[in-house]
Amino acid sequence: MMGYLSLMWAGLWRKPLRTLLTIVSLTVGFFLFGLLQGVNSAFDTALTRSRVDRLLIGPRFDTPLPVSYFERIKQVAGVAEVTWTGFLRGSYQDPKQGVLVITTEPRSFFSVRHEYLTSPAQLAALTRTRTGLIVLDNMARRFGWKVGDRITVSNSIPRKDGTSDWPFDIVGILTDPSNPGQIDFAVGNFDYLNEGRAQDAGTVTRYVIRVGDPRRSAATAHAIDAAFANSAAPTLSQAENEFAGRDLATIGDVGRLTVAVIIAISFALLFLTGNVVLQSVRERTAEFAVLKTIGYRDRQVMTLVVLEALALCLTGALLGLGLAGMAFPSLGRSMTSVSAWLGSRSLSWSVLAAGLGCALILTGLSAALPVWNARRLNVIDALRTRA
Amino acid sequence: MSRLRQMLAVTDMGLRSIPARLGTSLAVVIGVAAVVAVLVAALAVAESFAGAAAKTGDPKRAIVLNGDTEADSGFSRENALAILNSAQAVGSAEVLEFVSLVDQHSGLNAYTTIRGVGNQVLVLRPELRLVEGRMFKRGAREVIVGRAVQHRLAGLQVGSIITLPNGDWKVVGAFESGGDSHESEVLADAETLLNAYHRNEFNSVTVGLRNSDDFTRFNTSLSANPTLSVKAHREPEYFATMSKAVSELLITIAYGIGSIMALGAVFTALNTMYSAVSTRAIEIATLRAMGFGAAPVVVSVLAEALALGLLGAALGSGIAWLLLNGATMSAMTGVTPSQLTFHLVVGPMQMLIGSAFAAAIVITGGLLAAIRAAGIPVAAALRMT
Repeated sequence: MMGYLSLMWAGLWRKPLRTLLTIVSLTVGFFLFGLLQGVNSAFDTALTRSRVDRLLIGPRFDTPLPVSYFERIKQVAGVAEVTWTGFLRGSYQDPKQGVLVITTEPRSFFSVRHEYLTSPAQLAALTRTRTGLIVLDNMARRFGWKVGDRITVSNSIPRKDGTSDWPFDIVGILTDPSNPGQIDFAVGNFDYLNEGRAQDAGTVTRYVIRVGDPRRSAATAHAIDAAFANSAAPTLSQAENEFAGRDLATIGDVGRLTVAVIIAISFALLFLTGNVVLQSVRERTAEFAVLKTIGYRDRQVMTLVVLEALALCLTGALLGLGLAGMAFPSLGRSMTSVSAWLGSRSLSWSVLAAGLGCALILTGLSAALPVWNARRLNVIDALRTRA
Repeated sequence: MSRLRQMLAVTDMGLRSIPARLGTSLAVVIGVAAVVAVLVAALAVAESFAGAAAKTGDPKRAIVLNGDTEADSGFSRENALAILNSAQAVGSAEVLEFVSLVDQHSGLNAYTTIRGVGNQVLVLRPELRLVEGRMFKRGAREVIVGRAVQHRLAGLQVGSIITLPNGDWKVVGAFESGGDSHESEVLADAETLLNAYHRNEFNSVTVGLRNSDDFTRFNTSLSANPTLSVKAHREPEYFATMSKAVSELLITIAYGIGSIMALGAVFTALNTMYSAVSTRAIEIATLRAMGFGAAPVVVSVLAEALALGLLGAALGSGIAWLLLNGATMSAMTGVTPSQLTFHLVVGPMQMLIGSAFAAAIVITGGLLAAIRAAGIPVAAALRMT
């Protein structure tokens, strides 16, 4: 191994100026790659955070939606995950103290509403406990509730037994750090509501879905509404955060623009490094012939060529991405008009990983032709040309 | 004279030997082409956009607002009536709302403006021509749609239904208005739209002026009215200001990315030209030994670099032109969240700027290599054989 490294090192510094210039070109290329891809990924982070990836599906007219729509909604293209809710409004102790319990299927609910945080143990407790309730932290503080308490929501939906009181057992607390001003609510089990209530059995207040691509949520909304247009209960699907969606559209399709530029850069870099490696191998035809003569195998010679290409590309990529990582925060500050849409102020690890991945692809492609040449190398001819 | 002949001879030799160094030369050509393609494309988008935005608006119309943009502005019915009265001419008090639709081609979310207009709108905007179906009826949930937005977004054919948060509206007609920004909008009756959204504020009032001098009179009468705190703008000025921010941002991005890429390409050019010089070292030394001066050598290296750079510029411009010229794009006007649809023109001006960038890249790279070439020690180079 050490032998390889010292041979590679010697190869690289055979023409130091060429190696240096190539690395600088690569550095600039990867610097731009890092910035563009960084903007792209910070934008995606902002997307997820701003909840534009969610649609709310309610009844288009007064007919409530049946819970049986779940399976069909799940099939619609673009839907990543579905949950449903049944609202139970009532009061606690004093009729003036309003309480909202969102009953649902807890696992899918906390997954779709990923900004609501609770512990896996509390979530499991809610799934186990029919009358379980996970309460927003502010609400628990307001009423002085704690885990283990049994509370009753009164003056609510009439029950089959004639009362309108719904007892709940508090099994957990949830927080919503993304929205400190969140209106009070608690999360319960839909089955408890559905089987207990006197009317409207088998219907939901609304479905909440997460879409795979927030930029295509409107198409998914249209597809869902079209699927139920001729049924007894037509749906009305709307983005949860239409404002953010509009702002997003204002900035346009960032991804497509950055990809176009990145393709242009990659092409230029590919020709550059491909050529440099090719040239360096060609100049050393005789040296490779000597290596083969003294017993180096084809594979070993190939490894040497690939290692050299790898050293060039990786050095360029690391320098470029490193510089991009340093420059990125100030980019966000200087472009005030879009900085609100950059979900992160620093370059994410995924961008660095993508950059290094590109460096590896670049290595492979630029070493391919020289490797092929080096393999075909006929030792005797190569040595003869030298003389 | 003989100096010039020397230059031509050396340059000719250099250029002729390019095919022998195809690989390295190609790296410069492709590198420069990438820079030029990105730069030309981005500038073309910025300028086509500004051109299309400038088309909107007639100097004989004024738009009255009490905010910076129509979306920010809002005033009462009484104020709207007072403004219309001051104009003593045709006018339309207008309301803006938004429609969420789907881009026909990409399937992406798209938003457009639904503009509630007064019943004199066709007199006020004579460029607006109904080309299909009929005008919407007052009081009905009916709309007419601009051709540009109709082509861009799905579900806007005459006869289809669009869903607004407050219910379903029917598309009854389509109009053209010379490709201005209104052609990217959906129009409906202002009063019906206000009712449907439970609103009672108008966003703007647009009035016709008898001639462009009338603007001063109109403006004075607006400021004379103590109940109004509004501002009138000539239409073309308003739309130009609104689109300026967007096109400036596009131009900044174009030059920003273009310059960084150019920096990378300078090093590629330097690399290539150094390698060209070192392969030609013996040849150059021979020429110097024969009595050729340093200047012809420098010129020949620069000429070779320039030839490669201009080839790259032509390639890059060509790619940008092939991909973009004549294509339709839509971008935000900055006026409203609806997009302005415009046709892209990749013109000679952008190609010229691209070529200037290319020339700057290769001359910077070539000059250093040329100096090195001129400084080749003759005896040492010849001994290398």
